[in-house]
Amino acid sequence: MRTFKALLWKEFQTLKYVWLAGLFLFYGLGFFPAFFQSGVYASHPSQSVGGMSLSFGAVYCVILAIALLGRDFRGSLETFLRARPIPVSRILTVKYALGLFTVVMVSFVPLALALALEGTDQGGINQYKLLGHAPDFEVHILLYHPFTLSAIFSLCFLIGAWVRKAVETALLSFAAILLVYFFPVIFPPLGDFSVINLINTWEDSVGLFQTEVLQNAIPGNAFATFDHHIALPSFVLAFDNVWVGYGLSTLLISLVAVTGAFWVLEKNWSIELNQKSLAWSLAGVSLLLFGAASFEVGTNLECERMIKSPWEIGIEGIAQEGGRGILVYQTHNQDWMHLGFQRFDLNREDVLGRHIEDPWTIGSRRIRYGDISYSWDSRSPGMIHYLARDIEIFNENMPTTVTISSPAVKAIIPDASITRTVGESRTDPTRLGLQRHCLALATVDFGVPESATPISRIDLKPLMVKDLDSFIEPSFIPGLARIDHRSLVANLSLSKYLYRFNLDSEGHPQPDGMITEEYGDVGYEYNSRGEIESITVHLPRIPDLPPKERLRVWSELQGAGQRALNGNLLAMRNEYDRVQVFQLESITEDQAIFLKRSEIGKSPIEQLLHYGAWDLRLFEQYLAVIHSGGLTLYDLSDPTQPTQVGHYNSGIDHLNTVVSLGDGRILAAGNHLHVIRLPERERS
Amino acid sequence: MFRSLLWKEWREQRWKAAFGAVVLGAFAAIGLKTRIMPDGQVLLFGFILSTFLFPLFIGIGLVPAEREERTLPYLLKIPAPSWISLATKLLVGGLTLSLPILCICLVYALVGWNREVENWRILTAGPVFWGVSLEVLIWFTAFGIRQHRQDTAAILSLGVLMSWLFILILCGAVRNSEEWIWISRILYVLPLGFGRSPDWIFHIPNLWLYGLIKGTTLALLCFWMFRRFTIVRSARS
Repeated sequence: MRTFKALLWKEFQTLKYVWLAGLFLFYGLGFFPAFFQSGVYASHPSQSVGGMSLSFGAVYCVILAIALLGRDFRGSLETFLRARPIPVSRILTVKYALGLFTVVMVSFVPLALALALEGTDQGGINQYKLLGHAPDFEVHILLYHPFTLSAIFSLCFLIGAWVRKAVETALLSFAAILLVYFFPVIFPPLGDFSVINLINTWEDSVGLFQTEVLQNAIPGNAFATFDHHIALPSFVLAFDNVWVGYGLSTLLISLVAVTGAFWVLEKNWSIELNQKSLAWSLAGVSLLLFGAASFEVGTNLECERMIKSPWEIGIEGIAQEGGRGILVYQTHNQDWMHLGFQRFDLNREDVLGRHIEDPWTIGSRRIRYGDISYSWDSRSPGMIHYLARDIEIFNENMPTTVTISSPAVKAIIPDASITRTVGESRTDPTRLGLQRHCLALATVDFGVPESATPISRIDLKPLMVKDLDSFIEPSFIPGLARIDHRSLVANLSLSKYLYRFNLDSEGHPQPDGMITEEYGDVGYEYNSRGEIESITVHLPRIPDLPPKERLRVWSELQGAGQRALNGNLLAMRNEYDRVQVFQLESITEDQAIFLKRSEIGKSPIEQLLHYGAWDLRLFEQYLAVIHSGGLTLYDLSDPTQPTQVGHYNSGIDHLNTVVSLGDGRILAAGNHLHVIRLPERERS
Repeated sequence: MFRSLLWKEWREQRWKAAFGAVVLGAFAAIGLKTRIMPDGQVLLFGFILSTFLFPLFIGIGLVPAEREERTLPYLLKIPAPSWISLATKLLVGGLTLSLPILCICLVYALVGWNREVENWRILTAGPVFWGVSLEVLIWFTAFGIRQHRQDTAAILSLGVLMSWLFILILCGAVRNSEEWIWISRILYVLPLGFGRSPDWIFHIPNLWLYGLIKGTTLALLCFWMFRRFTIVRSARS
């Protein structure tokens, strides 16, 4: 016991400044905003404490390992220690135990304390962040990061025992830290061992104490079954299997590392490293990680040509056939939406033709709002038809005492067609501005290549009188689809009235009247695990159109970006930005049934970079997923097993859409046009 | 004698030149080929690494390494003025610093020529960053010349780097004050400080002022460095 006390005292003398540094970093700086009620973290100390743990935890472990082993096992001090009548293993046990205790004290304890402080005493114990089931980022740091830091400390301990020099230990430890944090990210089979990914899954999680999961008794959850049978109180520990797996694996790594450290010191093995070998190893690890990560998210599809657009406006859509068509420009902005059209022909030297800027709103006080639908046909290449909404602001200085509702607005402004939306005046927040939303179909004529003529719009107000009450702006998304080259069909309201428009008329399309009501409802069938198994689409009733064509019209009218249809394949993205692939099972006059074949998840590095699908396109057997990192292309020849064909990182140009050029090339568009060639093996 | 010293320094430093060229060249090649970041950011990141961290790596190997390995007395015994030894070290250090930057430019020419960044920007940035890296090397060598170990010299250099950042942050806090124009002159002393000045492109007289302040700073640093190197010799003898 006296020996043990003496060893503890010795290590206390060694570690006292390291502990002071830890106290300052993880408690002082971490709780500083809460103690002094300053800054954005004043009422959320767990955020600042968690941030400190993520930022400095690993570096602190390196310092700790160096302090424990960097001096004692070199030169005369080592001779002195080994000459004492104490086994080396006992010295090491004290060192390791104190080190691990310190790691727990700087990673787990302050964060648990901060999370406990953030709880409230209203509504019972479940209101505490730590104990409640609501997903929380800091709770996930608490669940996973202390294990990671324990493993890192153990690895640093092994390196320190083997190398026994401060600088060399530090450099090798940093290489090890890079590997621990980032190698599982870039190597998908190890995705479940990536602390970064696991912490980032907090949004999908139900928390540490999965009381709701327990009550639902999801199959496969042993704790849930246990709870169900013996009827424990509702507040029961129900650890996630992934969490248990991660904890056990990090404990195993720690055990192996610390056994190795004991072994090398017992045997008195050490390695002599020079600056050259250290530099090459550290650089090698860094380049390996950077290269592997880059090639996973970077480009491997060849950009054959990039056509720079002179406009600083995103190309929202491409209506094309082969290498020619029309680009649709649109910006989404809180205050203003810019709309424009431009002809393009990839076979011409001057690819981009005349640009028409905002044909509706030149010189007026109208602003564009919401999405736009458009239709183009190569048989009349000079024309593009589009359906959009605009808002006319009037009477900005209306007194705030007026109760705004649909009847009230109609009473004030009898000629208002659709007057439901009220917004705050931007010049004076105490006053309300009234906005009149209009929906209209318009046409742009590019008939003469050197010129383009905006044709005045058709106000769709007369067609929509029946639907005024259900027309809730601004959530309505207009839909426009082409039935054949002579007629269009438009969805004009939330309740899905479809109108047909005749394109044979001069100038702009004329309405032929309403053709159907209440179409396009989608039914979902779930399995016992809560996953979608099949979907049923109720087809729009459009006379003289076969069911498959009506299915195409449905996909064009609804859900642009959310879903894509091509042939028998349907791709949809769910709320977690995963893409689900369905195959058409049967189609009748009224409905089409799709069965789910596969789901395309995000790779660990895509999760790390928060890539989320925001547009899907299906062409030939390919699925193109547009995300914040560019474009990823999948081959759906076998819908049950999608394979990744390649990816294209568009750099500073954020892509919005992609189409197939039909000759082994695809055309992606953001602020500029990117002509991308598919790999040779894919084209053959 | 000068050629012999050059040969000796080159023999000692050449692996660092190869290391910098391979690592930063590979970094630029991976970044430009995969387009993981915009081309400009890849190049800027590579240039910053070669300008601020690589001089640290070179600097600790000039004098502190000789002292750590106890070879400095032998070097100073050769029949030549001591400043020639130090000048040779700095010359080879400067040459070594140029190779990674050259390699980044070469990789850019092969992979991303005129793709996102205009070529003239790269052609201008390369020599500018090399000049700055020389300046950084002089700073680090001047401060670390009396260190007996490479790790302490590295820590001291990191301290110098941190103090620059601290000054930049401090100056950033008073950026909107009326005295900013005068405060910004302080930044001229620091490497890359000229770029922090808001109006440098439009005011040619500032260029002369910048040259004057920078030249004086570097001359003083060099004087201090060579003087301390001489003291090392006299202390030994």
